[in-house]
Amino acid sequence: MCSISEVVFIMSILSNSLKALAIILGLILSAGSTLIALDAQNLAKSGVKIVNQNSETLADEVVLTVEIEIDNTGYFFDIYGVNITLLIMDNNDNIYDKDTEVIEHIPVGGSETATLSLSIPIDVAQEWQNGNIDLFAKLYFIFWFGKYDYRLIKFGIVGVSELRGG
Amino acid sequence: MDKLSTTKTFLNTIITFVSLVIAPVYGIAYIESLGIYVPYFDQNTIIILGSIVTALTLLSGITKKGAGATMTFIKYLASAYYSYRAMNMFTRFVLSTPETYGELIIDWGLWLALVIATTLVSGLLASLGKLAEEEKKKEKKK
Repeated sequence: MCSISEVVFIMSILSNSLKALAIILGLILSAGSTLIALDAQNLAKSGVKIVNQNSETLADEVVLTVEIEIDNTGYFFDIYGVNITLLIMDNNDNIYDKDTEVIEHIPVGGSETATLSLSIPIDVAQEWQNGNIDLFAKLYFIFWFGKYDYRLIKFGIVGVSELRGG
Repeated sequence: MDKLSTTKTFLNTIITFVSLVIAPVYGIAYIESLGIYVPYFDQNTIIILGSIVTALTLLSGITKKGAGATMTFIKYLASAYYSYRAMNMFTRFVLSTPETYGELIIDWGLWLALVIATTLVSGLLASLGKLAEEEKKKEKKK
């Protein structure tokens, strides 16, 4: 049988340990959120670059090639399942072409390049050159932040920009 | 209730209200002033759920013994539900101007599960800790 002082001592340790554990769990969660935000900010700032883009006119179409480099400039999390999709459309939402590339894994400090190729019918390109239609490029950039193959949180960035011509 | 625990409860209540109601509502108002629209954000839900968690924080601070431990656990349950609802509101951010269009989409995935599991485990630990503290006081009195 425990004495009263022993029970008080055990309860005191138990109470303090449980409270400390609850605080530690909360801190781990807050620290994790901060680290994800830091890595996401690094990636947004300098992680995605268009390194090369050119166009080639063939007999019946214009081929646009875009090379996108993705650097995992973060400090803590790997990037998984990167899906880059580029499409060309007009202001009536007619999609002329679409290309997708998937990169499975970019570790911290790693780098990968995606090459996307799109073609527009020559008559559409001419209409655009003459300023009769507007063309837009829509880019989807979707990826997971994770560690040790566990995908924690997914970010997707969608951007639309008008192609300048005419 | 001693002075120290009254002050602690009062401070916890204020911190909870500021972080669960004031910060999200004004944070979104600021983001929207920058031209970024958050389509799934529901201000009323944030105010109602945030106020409930604040009230439960106050109640768990002022109740003692088994009721206090139960209140603490209920507070963490409400807090986990708040996290679930609030995080699902921050899944789409849209910037749309005549010159540019951009969207940020977030799928909280496993992170949301981690947040909820951690909150529930913390709640269980905190309420057990409170119960142990009461037992300690009871034994000391004997």
